[in-house]
Amino acid sequence: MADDNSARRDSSHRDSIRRQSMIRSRRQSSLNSIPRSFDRRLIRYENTYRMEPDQDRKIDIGKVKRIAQMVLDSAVKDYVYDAQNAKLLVGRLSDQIRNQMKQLPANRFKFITHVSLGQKKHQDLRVTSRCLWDVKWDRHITVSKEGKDFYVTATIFCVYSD
Amino acid sequence: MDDANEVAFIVDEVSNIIKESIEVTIGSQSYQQAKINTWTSNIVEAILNSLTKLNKPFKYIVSCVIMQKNGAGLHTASSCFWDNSTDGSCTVRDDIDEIFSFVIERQFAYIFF
Repeated sequence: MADDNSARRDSSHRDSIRRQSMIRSRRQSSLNSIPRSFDRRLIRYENTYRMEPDQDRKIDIGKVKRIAQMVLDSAVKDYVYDAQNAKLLVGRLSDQIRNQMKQLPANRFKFITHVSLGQKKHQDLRVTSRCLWDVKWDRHITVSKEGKDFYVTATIFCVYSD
Repeated sequence: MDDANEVAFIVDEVSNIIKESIEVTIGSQSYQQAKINTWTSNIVEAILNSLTKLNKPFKYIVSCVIMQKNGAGLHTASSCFWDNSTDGSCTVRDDIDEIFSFVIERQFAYIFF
């Protein structure tokens, strides 16, 4: 009795594996049949000739700083450094800040958020950045927060693009 | 319309520039607290100068983190809201004896015909 059952289980297992490999091979072949040029076309938009942002679409750097500080404070309140979830926290933090930036009225700006989180162990650390951009419209802001055994620094760059 | 204008982001070229600049500035020196300021500025400015010499229609942001190796942990994340087809970033990590450094370079298209 037990032998019959095991034999049936083996054959069904083998069938499902065979079916999966068939499906996989079919899927691969269908991907190859799409012509390469079709999905790699680069869409070039018309030139907008907008060298400056509108008056009401500028970046208010004070507001950016406030938003970033708020996000940072709420995310690391009562945080104790833990190597495992520090990775996730840092990714989540940078995504959160970026999402807040997207909601600003400045619609022709591109945003870069750079977040560093580290453990405090009496080491020295330096974060530097230099930019080659349009001084009139592009801005950057840095906010940081220190806890008992960790520090976190977030730098946000806002770049105007026409 | 100048379609032959190369406005693609070439990662290899840029990462070579970054590696070279780190090697030239720090080489294999050990950590010296007095020099750390000069090192970071030199690295970043050298990279930016080399990138400008490429003469591409791009805006650049170069960011450098140098940390003394002490057993402490460091996590970095970067989140960008840009145009994927024209903009890109390149990160180079360098692990010297007592120094841990990495440089992130980002490039935005600024095409103006």
